[in-house]
Amino acid sequence: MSRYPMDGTFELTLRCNLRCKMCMFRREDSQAMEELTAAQWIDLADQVAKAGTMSLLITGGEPLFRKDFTEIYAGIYPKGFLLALYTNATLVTDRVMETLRAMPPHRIGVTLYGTCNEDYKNICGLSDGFDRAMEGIEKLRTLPSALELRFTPTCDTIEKIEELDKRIYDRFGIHPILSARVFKAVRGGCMQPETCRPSPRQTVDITWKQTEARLRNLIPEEFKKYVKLEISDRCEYTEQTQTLLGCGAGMKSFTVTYDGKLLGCQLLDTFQTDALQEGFLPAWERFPETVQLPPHPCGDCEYLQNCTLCPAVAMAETGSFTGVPSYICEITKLTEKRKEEFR
Amino acid sequence: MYQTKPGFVHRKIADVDVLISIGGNVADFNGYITLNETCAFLWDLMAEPKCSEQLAQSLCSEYEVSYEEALADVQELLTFLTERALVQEVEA
Ligand code: SF4
Ligand code: SF4
Repeated sequence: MSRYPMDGTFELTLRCNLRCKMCMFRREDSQAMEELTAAQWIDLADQVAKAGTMSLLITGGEPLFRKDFTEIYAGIYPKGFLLALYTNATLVTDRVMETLRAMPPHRIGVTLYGTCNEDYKNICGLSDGFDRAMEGIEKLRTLPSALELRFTPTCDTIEKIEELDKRIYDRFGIHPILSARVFKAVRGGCMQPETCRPSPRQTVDITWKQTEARLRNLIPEEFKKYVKLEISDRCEYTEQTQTLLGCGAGMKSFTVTYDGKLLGCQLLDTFQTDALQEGFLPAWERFPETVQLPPHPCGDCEYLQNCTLCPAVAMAETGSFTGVPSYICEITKLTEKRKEEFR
Repeated sequence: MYQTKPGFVHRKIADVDVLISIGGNVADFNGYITLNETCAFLWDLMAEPKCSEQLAQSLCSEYEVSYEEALADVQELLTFLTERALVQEVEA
């Protein structure tokens, strides 16, 4: 596979109206953050379109927190990307809706943080946050965009996943996707997710239960007695794919940060070029030169094949590419144990 | 005369011609369509209303193809595109 900037992410800001305890990205609101202007984002969108990017994700922080969100969005939209918008849905004003109705994104992703206002107060610092998110989703679902709901839990709210699933499914007909893996703050983020994230055991227990329930739900009632769920290991790629960071980051995908830097992955800024100063295409072309990784720290681990450790996560969790994060290591080993028991 | 419907942006992605559905069109079709080279060529011409003979003429001057063949191809394509409401018939 040759390199091609197929999928882009525009991180409009790292500010947010919420203060989620498990946020990996949020930075203290400060005037000092040199966010690109609306005109700069629109110009970059033009460059990125010319470079051939097909899908563009608009995210944050909270992208709707920018006062000029509608201006930026309306400037980017006509360039013709498969556009996705990620939001916490608590800032869906009439003005935002007017813009989105005229220019619907292809996909909208909303992340939820609890099952009630109390959760939002405790976790996100917004006492009517749940109601506002529900209202926001009510509005967003009137758009023709595909709507995805996610749930990022803490060690307390993870136990409520079934309750949340039921409430959300009854109301919107959508099962929220659980994103149970929460990493330590990255790139100067000011929160401390590790103090409140679900433990490895909670993560594995719930993920396992949810996955199994979902799979069983897919089987029509009359076939259930004939079907036996089996586990296979991750498929091994026979074809050698070229990578920089172990995945598509910097090979087929990229992030432009709030201040115009080009990253392979939004989690990792050790390797970067400057899309604003150099221009998008030169910055994209120069990016691989910046990547220098030491050998994988877990060279002979028997679980390597099934482990999700990647350089960005190693850096987030341990501050080093050669660190072995106990959080990931434990999740992997517990998952493998579960598989054995299941077999 | 035939004209492309608004609501698609014609883009080049990794040397492939792609139509991305945008605006009000997303309600009818949330996604993208890939075009072959001649279809992409004709698509751009139909930004302004064109009749099938004009399109066939343009095809002949761009590609090595007889007028009869070009006209047959154009008609086939126009049927396909109008059936799927990607192209509309307009008054001359
Ligand atoms: S997790 Fe999302 S909603 Fe919460 S503070 Fe971070 S950016 Fe904002
Ligand atoms: S993080 Fe742990 S389980 Fe994963 S490869 Fe390294 S040693 Fe193995």
